[in-house]
Amino acid sequence: MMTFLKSKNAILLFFLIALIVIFAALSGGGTLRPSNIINILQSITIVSLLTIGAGTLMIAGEIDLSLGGIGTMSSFVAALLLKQGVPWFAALVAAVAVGAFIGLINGFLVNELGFQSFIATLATASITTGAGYIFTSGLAVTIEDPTFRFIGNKLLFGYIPFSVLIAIIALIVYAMLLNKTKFGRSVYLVGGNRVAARLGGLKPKKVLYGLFINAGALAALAGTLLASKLLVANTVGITSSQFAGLTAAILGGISFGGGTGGMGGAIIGIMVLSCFNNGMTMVNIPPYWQTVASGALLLAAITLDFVTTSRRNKSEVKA
Amino acid sequence: MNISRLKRAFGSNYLALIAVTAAVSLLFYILNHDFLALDNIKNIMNAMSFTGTITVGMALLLIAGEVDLASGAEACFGGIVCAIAIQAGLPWPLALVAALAFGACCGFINAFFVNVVHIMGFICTLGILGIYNGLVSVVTDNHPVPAYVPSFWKLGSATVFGIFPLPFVIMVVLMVAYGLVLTRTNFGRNIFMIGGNRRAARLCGINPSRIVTALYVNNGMLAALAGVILTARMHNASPMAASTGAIDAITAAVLGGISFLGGVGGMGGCFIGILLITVFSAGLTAIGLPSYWQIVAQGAILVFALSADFFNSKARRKRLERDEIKRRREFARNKEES
Repeated sequence: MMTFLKSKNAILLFFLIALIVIFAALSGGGTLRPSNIINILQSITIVSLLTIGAGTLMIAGEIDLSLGGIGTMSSFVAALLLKQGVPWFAALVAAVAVGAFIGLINGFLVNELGFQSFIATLATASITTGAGYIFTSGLAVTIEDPTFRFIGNKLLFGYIPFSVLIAIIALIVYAMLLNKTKFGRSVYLVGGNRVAARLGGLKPKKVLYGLFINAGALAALAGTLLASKLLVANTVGITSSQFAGLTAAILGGISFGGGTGGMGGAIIGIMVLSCFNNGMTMVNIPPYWQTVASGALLLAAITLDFVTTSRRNKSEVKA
Repeated sequence: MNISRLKRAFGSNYLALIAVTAAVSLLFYILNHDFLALDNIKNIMNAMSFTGTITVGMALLLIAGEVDLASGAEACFGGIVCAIAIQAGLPWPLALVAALAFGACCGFINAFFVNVVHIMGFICTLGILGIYNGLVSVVTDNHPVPAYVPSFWKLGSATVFGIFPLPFVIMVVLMVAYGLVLTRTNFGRNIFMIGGNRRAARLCGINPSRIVTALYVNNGMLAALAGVILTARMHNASPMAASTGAIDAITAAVLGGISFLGGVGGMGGCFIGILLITVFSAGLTAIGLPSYWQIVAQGAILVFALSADFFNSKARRKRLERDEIKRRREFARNKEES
C-alpha cells in the first residue's frame, strides 16, 4: 500500500481527483451531470485508442506522428465505401486495413531504410493527410449507415456510450499484453536497450513492425469511431487528438526515451487530459486560453514527474 | 586543390541532393517555362529566406542533439511583438531589438526547462508550442497586426545588386557566419561534441548546459528575426504566418544531412535542403497542382530524399570496405615479395 502511495500513478491519481473536485466546484456541479460525463467518456474513447498506439511505440523507443493523418484518411475510406453501399463490417475492416498498411510502411521506413521514426512518420503524416483531402476534394462525407450510427452514438443502459466499451476492452487487452506476455516484455527490452535485446535473441525489427502496424490500425479505428460519432468524416478528423494521445501517454509516465511506463499510468493520463479539457469548456474558459492551458498542463506534468523522480532517487541514495 | 578534396567538400550526401534539386527544377521548367523567370526566382529566394533563417538556429540545436518545436510560433510571436511595438510608436529599429529580446527570452525559457528541469527538448517545446499558439491568438484575437511604416518595409523588400532580395541576403550571410562558427571555432566543435556524446563532452571539460542555453537563446533570436522580416515583407504580422515553421525547418535540416540524433551536419547541406523544399513547393504552385497534392508531395519528397541518402551512404560504405580489402591484399602481397 505504501509503495503504491509513493508511486507516480498515485500522485497522478490524486491530481485527477483534485482536478475533478476543482472543476466541479467552479462549474457548480455542472461537470458531474450525467450528460457531461457521457461527453467525457466519448472523448476518452478516441484518445485511448491513439494513446495505446502511440504509447506502446514510445515504450519501444519510437514515435508515430502520422496517427492523426492515418485516422483522417481511414475515416474517409470507411465513409466513401459506405456511400458505395458496402456493408458496414467490410467498410470498417477496409479502414483498419488501410491504417495497418500505412503502419507497415512506417515500419519499413524505420526498419529497412534506417529513418528516424520522427521524420519517417512526419512524412507519412503529410502523405496520408493530403491523400484524405484528395479523396474528397476537402469536403466532408456524411455517414448514413445505421450500424455506424449505433457504434458511435448508442448509449447502453441510457448512460454508457457503446464506443467506451471498445476503449475499455482495448486498454485491458493491451495492459495484459504488455505485462503478462513475452511480446510485452520484449517491447520494454527493445525500448530500454536495443542492442541488448538483439543479443538476447529478440528481433527488434519484428517487434517494431508489429507496433507500427498496431498503432496504424488503432488510429484507423479511432478515426472511424470519431466519424461514426459525428456522423460525418471530415478533414479536421482526429489530427488534434493525435497530440492529445502523445500528451496523455507522457502524463501517464511513458517516457520518450523508451523502456518505461505502462497502460495503468496511461489510463489515468487519458482521464486527466479529458477531464481537464472538458472542465475548461464547462467553466467557460475561452478556447485560446484553453490551448495555453493544455500546453501548461503538459509542462506541469513533466516537471512534477522530474521532481518526484529526483526526490525518490535521493531517498534511495540515502537508504 | 585536387579532385578528391573537391569531392569531399561537396560530400556525396550533398551531391545526391543537388542532383535532385536540379532535376526537379528542370522538370518544372519543362512543364512551365515561367518557372525559371527572374520574377519567380526572386519569389523562390524570398520564400526560402523565412524558413532558412529559422533553420539556421534549428540546425545548430539539432547538431547539439536538441530541438525546438516552438520556433515557428516564436517567429510568429516575434513578428507580432515587433508590429505591436511599431504601433505603439517605437521607431522600427527599436521594435526589431524588442522582438529580438523577446525571442531571446523565449529561448531562455526553453533552455530553463531543458537544463534545470531536465525535460527533453522535444517534449518541453511541444508544450511551449501550445502555450505560444494560444497566447498569439489571445494577443491578436486572430487578426493580423498591421505595421504601416514604409521605411520598415524596406527590410523585406529591398534588393541587393537589384537581383537578390534583402531577406535572402540576410539568410545567406547568417548561414556563412554560422557555418564558420561551426567549423572554425572551439565553440562550434563543442556543439558537435555535445551532440555526439554529451557525457564525453562533459568529461572533457565542456559545459553542455551553457552551450545548450546559448543555442536556445540564439535560436529564439533568429526565429524572432525571421518573423520580423516576414512582417516587413507582408506589411503586417499574421497570427497564422508560421504554423509549420518548425517542421519545415527540421525537414530542411534533415534533408540537408543533419541527423536528428545530433553530432553531424553543416550549413551547406541546410542551404540545399531549404532550396530543394522551396523549389519543389514553388514548382507545384507553378504547374497549378491543387494544394492537397502539395501536402502529399512534400511528404513524398522527404521520403525520397532520405532514401536516396540511405542508398548513397550504403554504397559509400561498400566502396570504402572494398578499398580497404584491396589495400590489405596489396599490403600482404608486398610483404610476401619482400
